[in-house]
Parts: sequence; structure tokens; C-alpha cells
Amino acid sequence: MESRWIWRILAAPGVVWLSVFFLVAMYTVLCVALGNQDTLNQPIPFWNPLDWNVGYLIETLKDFWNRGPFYTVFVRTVVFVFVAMGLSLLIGYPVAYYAARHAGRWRGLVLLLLVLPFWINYLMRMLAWINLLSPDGWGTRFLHTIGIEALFEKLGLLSQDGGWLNGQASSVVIALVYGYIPFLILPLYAALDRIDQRHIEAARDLGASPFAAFRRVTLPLSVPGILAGVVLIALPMFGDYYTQDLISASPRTNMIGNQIDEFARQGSQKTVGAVLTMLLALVLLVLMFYYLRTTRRADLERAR
Amino acid sequence: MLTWLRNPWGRPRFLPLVAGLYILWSVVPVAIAILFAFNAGRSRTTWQGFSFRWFWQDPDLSVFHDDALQGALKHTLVLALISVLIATPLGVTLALGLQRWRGRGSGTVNVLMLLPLVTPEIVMGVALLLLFLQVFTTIGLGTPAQAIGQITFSLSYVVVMVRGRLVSIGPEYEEAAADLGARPFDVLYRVLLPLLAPAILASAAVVFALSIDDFVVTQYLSGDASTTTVSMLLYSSARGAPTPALNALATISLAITLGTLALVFIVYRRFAGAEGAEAVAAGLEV
Amino acid sequence: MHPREHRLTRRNLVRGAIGAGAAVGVAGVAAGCQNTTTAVGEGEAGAASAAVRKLVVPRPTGPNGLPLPRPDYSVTWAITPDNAPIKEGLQPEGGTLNVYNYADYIWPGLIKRFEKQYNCQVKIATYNSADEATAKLSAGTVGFDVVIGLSANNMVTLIAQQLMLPLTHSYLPNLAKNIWPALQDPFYDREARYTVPYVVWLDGIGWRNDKISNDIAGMKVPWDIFWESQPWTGKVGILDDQRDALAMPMQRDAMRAGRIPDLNTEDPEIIAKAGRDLSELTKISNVKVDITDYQTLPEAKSWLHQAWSGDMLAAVLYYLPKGTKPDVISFWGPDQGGVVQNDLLWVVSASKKPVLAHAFLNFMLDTKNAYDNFVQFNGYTPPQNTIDAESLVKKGLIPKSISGAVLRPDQFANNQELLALSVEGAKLWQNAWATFKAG
Repeated sequence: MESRWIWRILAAPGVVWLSVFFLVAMYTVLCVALGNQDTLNQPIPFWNPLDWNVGYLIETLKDFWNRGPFYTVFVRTVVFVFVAMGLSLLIGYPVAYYAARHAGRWRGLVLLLLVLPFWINYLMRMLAWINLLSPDGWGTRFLHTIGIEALFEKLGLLSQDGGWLNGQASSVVIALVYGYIPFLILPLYAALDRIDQRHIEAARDLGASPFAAFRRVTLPLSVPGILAGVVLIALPMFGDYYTQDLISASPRTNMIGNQIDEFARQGSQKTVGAVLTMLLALVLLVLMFYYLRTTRRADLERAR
Repeated sequence: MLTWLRNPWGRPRFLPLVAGLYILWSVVPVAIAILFAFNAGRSRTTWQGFSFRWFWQDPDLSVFHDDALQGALKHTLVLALISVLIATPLGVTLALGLQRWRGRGSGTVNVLMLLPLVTPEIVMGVALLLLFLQVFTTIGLGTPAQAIGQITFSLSYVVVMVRGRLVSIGPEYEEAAADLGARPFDVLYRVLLPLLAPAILASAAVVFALSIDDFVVTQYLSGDASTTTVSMLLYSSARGAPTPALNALATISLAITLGTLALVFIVYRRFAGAEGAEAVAAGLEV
Repeated sequence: MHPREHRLTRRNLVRGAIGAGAAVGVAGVAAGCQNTTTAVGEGEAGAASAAVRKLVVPRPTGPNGLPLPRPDYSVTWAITPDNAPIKEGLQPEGGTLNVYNYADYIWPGLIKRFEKQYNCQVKIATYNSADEATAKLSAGTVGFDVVIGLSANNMVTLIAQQLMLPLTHSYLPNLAKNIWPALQDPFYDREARYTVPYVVWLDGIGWRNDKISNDIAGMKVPWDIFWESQPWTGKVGILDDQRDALAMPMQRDAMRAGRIPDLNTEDPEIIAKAGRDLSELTKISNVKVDITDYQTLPEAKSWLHQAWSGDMLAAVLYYLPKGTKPDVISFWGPDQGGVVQNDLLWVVSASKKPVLAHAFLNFMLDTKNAYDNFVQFNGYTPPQNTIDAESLVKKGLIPKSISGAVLRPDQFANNQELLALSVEGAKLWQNAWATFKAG
């Protein structure tokens, strides 16, 4: 039937757009990373795969191999992201659980408030924290009054009074949590919401305590949602550079995103910037495809 | 009260507390930032009285009078409008085509469509930067490039939201119309599109909001100083010692976003009722 | 980097294949199959002069093998027949003059004055960084007439593409009349054939003298204060620019040893040591790396900061919060062996209004105009013979504590400019900087 072709024709503009402005863009990164530079320090992409020059790639990998600065920054980024992911889950799971199962008549309002951060500019949210955590800010005074400042100093997480914005790793990690946790809570909420209440009722009927029902029914059933949400926030966190720039701006909290930003936009080694981008994308590819597989499966299930 | 005391860690009590604290933690800082936009003095940390000074009264530094701030706001809105006007139709047609596409290629296209959603922004930024400097040099950097970049990552959101709605509509209406003898084009135009209208509207609102709040791609693709957006200005000024005019700018930008969303939501409810919320949630589950 | 690059974003555009990239030649692409990090085109110019290289100590070269000007290696740029200067004695054209400048870098009142005097319109387009400007100019799509704000280290690239118009000095009497002799015949452009100077500045130390009572200016090696800044942890900063920042420990070492450093060095040892010295600062006082000192010093968010002299003047003149006295900010800059830099004013070779453009340059070189620009708006010293710190202090415009931020001709002569490096050299500096920034 000719109607078959209508749909392909309809889809064509979008496909062309994505191919040109996404696929070709990605290929360009590859060709610049495996290209060379001219004497004006401008990159020259090598379009033909047969011409590809792995010199810069090898040099960068050697840096990782020799525990050089890229390695240091990458390890630090992984640590930040993992801690932030853990904290996000610790805070986000109860919130999502509450919204999905216990909010009752407040559910609409709670959902609205949970969705609200999506529509607030990320930078504005960080700006808010810069104001609050500056030495004379309300946040600093509050944290001082309730003893958190002293606690953090004792734990070695804060190096001086009021120094929240002075290159503190803890501030950066918490800022990452603050920034990205909404992206975890909503998918988690959706996953928890989808769990059939009857499973839990069955467990309770069989004599399980509320906590046991949670541990043995709800929690395992929510694992795919947890994984999906966690991966969803890990991806942008790995490439984040502006959070650190705003909250700390110190070499002590430099992340891999900052190095990419530094090399790809400025200076004389933009090819190295492309190499780092390519390496980051490859590392995250695993995560990306995992996420795509789980959402596709969920989509197909729902379509059924 | 007594029941609470007897079992303070009982889940029903513990959960609302955590959720409440989280919501406060999430919203209060922004509320304070908005508050200080109305500060009468220059400080962003000491409250010095209420005033509209930073919005329009101050003759040099207020958003209304400072060319840089105004220019950024205007440019942000221009980009958002362009993005919506191009991404929405493009995304709707892609969603329709993808959903009904049977056979070879649909899986690959589906993955292609989802990839921008999971690509970290800095990877997109660098890729697009190199694209416009090495391949499409005639376009170069600037407003067209920024618009193209924003459209590219917004497309996926439109597709996902419209598809969600398509799935919940189901094929019955189309089949019924076809049975009644309608041509494919008529089915599309007179049956599908009206049914999809709420989702299209919602996705347009999402594209608008995404565009206004976008930072990395917009910064990477900006040309000269006239292509600065609100996000870029917030980033570059935040660590200096800006006046509350910056807070005012952010507040105005937020007001525009929320205002647009509220408007769309109201219109949406009239058409779609309770289903609307589900479609939005479905879209946001991505 | 240029101090004005911080105004919005620090962006450096990658220049496209159009322009100088093409000039480098197709030969580079043919070298494809090797796996290398040697830049394409490097070493090719050298091959032809191998015999010369045997007998002469090699100097770093720039694009197309063009020489990189250094204070001890001045360059006179030739005037080529295909890019000839305009004739003398012509009348300035009317219409619109397109000026390309950093944002907020010229007093709007001055523009109005020029428009009135020459009965024309001036349109200013702005750029965020030198690389961006160079890229736009190379693309040649917008017709600019005058460019303000690029420096000597961008010049070689521009000359390589013949983007600059050789100046006709009969239109520029103010150059000889008002400008420091050293800058009338600078090493990077002997006989001022293509450029005239706009403003000059010095890299130094800015601090709050009400928070830090040390006599920094009186120290034997004032740069040491950064390595002794532990008492002010969290309030210390250095400039977020690889050249300016790395040059600081180099100056410190040289001052201690009583010699003059080469701040355009390509010696891997020296560069790496500078990077390590900076890393020490992170441990000592958790040093911040930013360019917002012109705001954070007046607000006492920062107490000690490596600073560009013009920024400190701007801080005192415009950014002080109410109630803070102007003399709380002090500035010290080295008399020799430090970093000094100047901006250029030049005419684009493809300009359709070259005579009006020359008139603009001459207008900017006029003493009253330069003074007004400096005091009313800019903060960066114009190299005018009659503008000096003492007269400004006497007039009560600036406090004595900041008088070091107004440059003297001898300071300019005895300090060094940060100039373009060869490909290898640039790599060394950037790697040292990346290592420091990685923490």
C-alpha cells in the first residue's frame, strides 16, 4: 500500500536533520581527533578513515597510562559522580517513593514541586547557591548555626569557616546532587508508580511486615527504574564543567569536562580536546546504550 | 501526635518528612534568589528593602536599561522562538513517521532519535562546534548555529512526547476514518493532528523551556557578543560581584518560562483533561 | 589573553579551513598516513634553509615560517604591491565606519564626539576573544574598517593573511606628536607601518591594603607574597590565563636570581617548573583562578590577586561599593622583567573607507580624547606622553595607592610582551597549564 511510504516521507525531514546535524557532527569529532593541526594551531580533520592519524590519541592515552593530569582528573570525576549518584539515590528514593505511594491527596502538588526544577534554569539554581554560600550569605550563617559547618570541618570536608565556595570537593558534589537529582526522582517515581499495588498486598497477605514487603517486593521491582535513573544522571554529570566552575573554580575540583572545555575551545591543541571528547563519549557509550535498551523495552511493554 | 511519638520512624511519618525537607531544599534557594532580585540595595546577601530597582528603575544597571542584559534577554527569546517553530513540526512529523514505520530502518532511526537525549551536552557542544567550523563554515557560529544546535537536541523530546500520545490514542481512530474512505492525507490532517494537538502543544512548551534554559550548546555555538543568552550571562557574571540585576534577569527569564508553561497547561486541560498530565509525565519519564 | 576577553565568555574560535589554513598549503594533507603529533606544515619551511640553520641559532617561527617578533628581534613588515597604502591628501569619506572592538572597551561619549567631528556614523561590533576576532576577520564576510584591541601576538597571523592595511602616516600626525617614542617604532612593527597603539597595561599584584598590612611593594621579590599567602587562604587569586599566570613564577625565580627572565621561553624545564610552582599555591592558600578581580577586590571577596593594571584602576574608579574608600586597593607592578602588553589600532585592508579609518586612528591618538577615554571609562593607560600617574594623583582622580597601575614609558620599555609562540612552545605552555589546572 502506498500509505506505507507516507510515513517514511513524513519521517524523512527529521531523519535528515538528525543525520546531518548529529551524526555528521559526531563524525567530525572523530575526524578532528584523528586528524592533525596546521602551523596556525588550527585543527585539520582527516575525513578518510584510511588517513587517520592516531598520534594525538596515543599521546593522550599515554597520559592516562602514566597517571598524568588527565588520569588524575578523570579519576576525580569518577569519584565525584559516584558519590553524587549515591547521595542522589539516598535522598531521591524516599522522595520518589513517597510521591508514588504515600502522597495521597497531596500527590498533584508534590509532583508539581518535583517537576518545577526542570523548568528553572540550571545556572539560576547554582547562582542561588553562590549567593547563599558566600561568606556572608544566609546559607553560610545557617550552616554555621546548626553546626554543620563544624561537622564538615571535623570530617575534613571543609577547610575553613565560610569557605564553602573555595574549592571544596564536598560543595561541588552536593551541588551536582542538587542540580541533577530531579532527573533521578521523576523516572524513579514513574517506575515506582508502575509497580502493581497488588504485588505488595499479596506479600502483606502472606504475613510480611511493611518493611519486609518493601525489601522483598518493592525494592527488587524498582531496580530497573533505579538503574535507569542513575544512568540518566550519570551521563550529564560526567560531562559537567560549569557546576565546578561556578561553585569552586579551583584546580582541586577540576573535572574531565573542564579539561575538555579548556582544550577544545582555547589554546593551541584543539585536536587533544577532540580526542578527550571522543574518549569520554566512548566511555559513556556503554551507559548510553544500556539506558536506550531499558527505555526501549519499557516503551515496547507499554505499547503492548 | 501520640501515634507519631510512639513510632517516629514508621515509614508514613518518615517519608513525608524527607520529601518535605527535600522539596524545601530544592525550592527555597531559588525563592531566595528571586527575593533578592527585589532588593533595594546592591547586595545579593544582605536584605536592604524591597524595590523594583533592578528591573527597571535603576537608570544604568537595571535589566530595562542595561544593554547587555536586555540584549541577552531578547536573544534568548529569539532563539527560543526559532527553536519552537522549527523543532515542533519537525519532531511531530518524525514522531508520526517513526511510529507508523514498519519494516527495515525503523529500529535504527529510533536509536538515532534517542541518541541526542543521552549524549552529554559537552560532547554535543564540541561536536557541533567542530561541525560549524570545519564543515558548515558558511553558516559559521552565531544565531543560526545556536538555533540549529538547540533544535537538534530538542527534537527528541518532541518525538518522545508525541509518540507517547500516539500510543495512548491507539490506531482505532485512523482505522475508522480509513474505513469510511478517507485518504491518508485527510486521516492525518483531520483525525490525527487534532487528537495530537495537546501533545504537540505540550512539546512546543517543552522545547521553549529547554531552549531558554540551555547553556552548553548555546555557549559553544555563540558568535560575537550579540549572541549572548541569559544562561551565558548568568554563567560569566555569577562568580564576580554582580548586582541583583542578574537575579532580576534570571527571575524574568523564569517568569517567562513558567508563564508559558502555565498558559499551555491551561489550554491543554481544556482539550485533553486529565490525560494531559499523563502525557506530560510520560514525556518526562525519558 | 587580553583582559577584555573576560567580559562575557572566554571563547576562542577555531578558525575554519578558509583563510590561513588554506594558505598553509595542500602539502600538509598529503602527509596524512603518518601517525604523528607534528603539526602539518611544520618543518617544511625549515627544510629549504637547512644550510642557514646550521650556522644560525634557530628562532621559533610562526605561521608560514614568518618570524615571531621579539624585543631583541624586531621585525619590519614589508609593504607589498598587492596591499598598497592609500594615497595622501584625500578627504575622509562620509557614511558609516565599522569598528570591531571588545565589548565595553571604548567610551561611548568618545564615539559620539568622533561622529560629530567627522559627520559620519560609527557602528561598533564586538568580539569576545582574540581568536574569535581573528577567525571572523579571516572569513572576510563582514566589512570592518577599524579594529581595536588585538595585540602584537595576534599580528603575525593577521599579516600572514594580509588583513592589515599599511598606514599612510601623513594622516596620523598625532602619532609622532603624542605617543611614547618606544611605541612609535615598536619591535613588532618597526616604523609603525601597520599599527598604532591603543592602550598599554602591566601584569602586577593588586591587594586590599586594609586587609593585608604587608608592604608588598617594598619586598625584595613581591611575587613571593603569593607563596607566603597561607594566612589569607581562600582570598588569594591568580589570573585565569595560561601565559599571564605561568609567567608569574618565572618572574619570581628571575627576580630572586637577579636576572631578567624570558617570558616567551620555550624551554621545557622552565615551563614545567612554573607549572609546579603554581600547583604549590593550590596547597598553600587554595588559590582561586579567575579574572573577576576587578570586582572581587573592591568587594573584599578577594584580598590578594594577580591583576592587570587597567582592571585595578577600573576597580578603584567604578566598582567600589558605597562606603569603601578608594585608597584601600593597592597595586604593584614590576619595573623590569615583567609582563607588559599593548593593544593595537589598525585598518582592515579591505576597508571601503580607509581615509575615515585613518582619521579615526588619529582621533584616538589625540591627547584629550585618549585622556577622556581613560578616565571616563576604560581604566587602561593610553601611551600618551602627557598622561602620567602624578598628574592624575594631583588632580585627585586616583589615590596614591593605585598610582602604580598607570604605566610609565620606562616600565613599558623594560618589561616584556607575551608574544606568539611556535607550535611546540604553545604546546608546552598549555600542557603545564593543564597540569596545574588538573589539581
